[in-house]
Amino acid sequence: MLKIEFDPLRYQVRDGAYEKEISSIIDRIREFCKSDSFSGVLLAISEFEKLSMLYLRNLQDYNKHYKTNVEKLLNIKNKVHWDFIEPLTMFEAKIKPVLYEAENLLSEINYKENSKSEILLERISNMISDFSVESRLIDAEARNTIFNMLNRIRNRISSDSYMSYVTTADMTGAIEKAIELNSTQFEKIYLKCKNRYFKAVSDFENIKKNVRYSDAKKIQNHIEELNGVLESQSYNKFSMGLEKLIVLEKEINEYLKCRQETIVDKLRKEMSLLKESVWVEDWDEMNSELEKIIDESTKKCSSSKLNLDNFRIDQKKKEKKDEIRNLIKSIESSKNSYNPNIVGKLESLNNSTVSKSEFEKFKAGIGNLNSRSSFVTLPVKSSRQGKKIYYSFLSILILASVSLFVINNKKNVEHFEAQGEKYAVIVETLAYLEFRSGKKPDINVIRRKIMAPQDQFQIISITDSEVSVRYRGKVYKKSVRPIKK
Amino acid sequence: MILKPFSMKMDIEYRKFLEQNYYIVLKNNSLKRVNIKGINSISGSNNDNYVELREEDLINRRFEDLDIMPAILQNSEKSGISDMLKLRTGQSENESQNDILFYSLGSVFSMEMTDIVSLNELLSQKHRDGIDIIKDTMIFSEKGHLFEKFTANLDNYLKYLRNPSDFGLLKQMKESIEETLKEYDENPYDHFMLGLILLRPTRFYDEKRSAEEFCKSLHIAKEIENVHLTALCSFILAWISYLSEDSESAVKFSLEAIRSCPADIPELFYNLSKYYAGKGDAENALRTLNECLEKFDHAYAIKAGIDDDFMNIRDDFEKFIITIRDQEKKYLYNRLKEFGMIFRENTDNQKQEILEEEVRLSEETGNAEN
Repeated sequence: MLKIEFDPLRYQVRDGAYEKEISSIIDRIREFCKSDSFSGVLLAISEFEKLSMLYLRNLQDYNKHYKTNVEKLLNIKNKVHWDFIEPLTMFEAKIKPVLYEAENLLSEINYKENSKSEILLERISNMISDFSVESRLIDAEARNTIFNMLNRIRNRISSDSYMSYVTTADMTGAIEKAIELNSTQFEKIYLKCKNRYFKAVSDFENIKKNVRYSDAKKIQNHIEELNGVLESQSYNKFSMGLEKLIVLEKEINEYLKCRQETIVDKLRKEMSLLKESVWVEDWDEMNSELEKIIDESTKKCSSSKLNLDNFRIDQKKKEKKDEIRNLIKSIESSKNSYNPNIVGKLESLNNSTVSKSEFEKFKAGIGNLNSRSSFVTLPVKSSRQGKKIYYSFLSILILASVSLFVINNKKNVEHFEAQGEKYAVIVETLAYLEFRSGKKPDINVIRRKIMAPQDQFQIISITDSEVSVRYRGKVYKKSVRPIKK
Repeated sequence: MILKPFSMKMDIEYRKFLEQNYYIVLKNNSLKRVNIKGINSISGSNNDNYVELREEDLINRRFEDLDIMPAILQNSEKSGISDMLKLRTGQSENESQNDILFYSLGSVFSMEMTDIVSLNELLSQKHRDGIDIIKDTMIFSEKGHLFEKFTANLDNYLKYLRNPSDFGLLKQMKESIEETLKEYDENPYDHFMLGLILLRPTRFYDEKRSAEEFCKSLHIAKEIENVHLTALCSFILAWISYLSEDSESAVKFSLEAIRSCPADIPELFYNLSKYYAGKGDAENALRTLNECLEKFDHAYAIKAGIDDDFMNIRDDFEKFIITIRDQEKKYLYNRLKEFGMIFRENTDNQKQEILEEEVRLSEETGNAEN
């Protein structure tokens, strides 16, 4: 008779159907081996193969449906490691029957039944998780200690006598102390860890695109590790997590700083371009506000507020445009003060750096003229001579205002033209020096040597015969002096 | 431990009751209840024609051995409570000195401890001023030597309490106090001590004379406005009145004592409650008992639960106990609620409902996942 023995540590079959099938294969093997014939051995080999396949399948089911779930159950029990005794708390009342059912399902000798416990265990796990945050009993050890203290009270009051209730003061005092201690740890360790973790994750999301793949992967690994720490339900692990967070925050901050610098450059450029589109006063105000935001963001190492969203730029642009347009309209509608030159100059203000106060002065002059004009058109009795004097005075006043404005503007134009020519000369000199030493001039190198604002000055081209630059929208050219051979 | 208090409803004379209930003060200042051997030794040496008692003759007074209303205390809790109360008489492994005072003993105090506890009270700071006044008065009246006699007698009394079989010492003390009082009748403490001696179950036992001495002491204490001694004398006079079946006087003296010094002697409140209960005045009895429980010691509920006088108002007493138990229960649950521990009434139906709900949700989740 063939003797077949099972190693109980290796033979892990917890299902009636598998058990039955395996037994019948083993019976058949015994039967085939009984005759001790060659054909019997061949048949037995085939059965052994079947047994092997079957056992392998069993082992997969065993691990998936039984072993994994039993481990989950043990893990859960460690998180609620106290006896559930009456009177149950709301949490215990909710969890106890589900836990009991999951245990029952896992005690069945049936993988299908075992597998049903998975959903229940998942649910229990979520319940514990929710409760631990709601009750602030996030640390499994603290939670177990406090509930075991509660059990001492429950045991005491199980007799439901007057003395049982009045003698619990020291026990409630002990619970109170433990809860106070836990609450402090919850805030100082868990919440601190959690808030910093979420901030780090959010910061990382913002800079993710700008981070090198290998670095992003490293940071992502740290984040996942910390996520595991937050799920650990242990103040010790949260404390260690805080140390890991310092490393993570440092890594993210380095990238944040780079990103911040890029944004700051971009914003300053945008702000600079706005100078001609809004009144100077508005621009000054916006610029100083932007610098404040930049300062704060640098201090906080955060880019979240680095934007021009609250600056109402469009409105400010519109204000300038509208006021200029209104004035033009008003001049055009007034036959007395209409002057195409003035209108042309006014239109050019839309793209020039102009202060509102200067504009208002000009406008006041025009306004004065119009109001006086309307006044004189009123049918009031006055001498012809008086009217003449009045018109003469008004004409002089308007002409003086317009002249002042035009002269001022002309002076500016002259100044900028002189400046533009000067820049063209400088570029030509630098280009000439390069040509003379037999090198080809580099536009970027030459541009960096000229201190003119980036947004106002640009080198268009440098050839061996001519340099061409743009300053404040106007192109200036200068011939390159011939090289002496 | 808490002992069943003497009641006029018991089938025994007070003196006989005392003869089988002695306490002695041990060196470490703890109180020890004397066993049958000690009882026979003390009673035999202090009384003529004393017939020795056997264990079975003794009245069982230990609360652990008596039936108590379960709403007060379940049998399973008795040993735990007993261990807790032992600490008050110093009968524990702890060698620290105990205060043998009314307040620290609370419900563990028993009337047969009256002289031990009263004399310890006299030695406490609160009585020091009153005794100093008497001393000054006696020195002023050129009776300073009598004050020295008083202090010697007090020392002797304390010595006697450590060895109550020494009747000779008691006799010597009694004679010395009586001689002193012949010379100077105005020391309330001499009258007080003599009153105590006359209440001990010895050849000198005389309730009536004892009451007279306490009355004299009370009179002088009131004159010199000594509230503590006034309260102490009134407390003992109330008890003697109760022993004379004069409940009205017992109540009157108790109220007077409470008015004099309300926070001093918890037993005052308990005894007043007992006197009311004895005469069937449930309302006042339970109101006073409640005050006693709230102000001093919850274990007075046990004492009342084994006191025959409270059986006189049994129905009301039971209702009262259930009410205060429910109040304490509510208080505890609210306190635990403050810590986030909210309880639910958990019937089997509710359990099933929870389970069904969980299974339903699980199935929904399972279906959704599939």
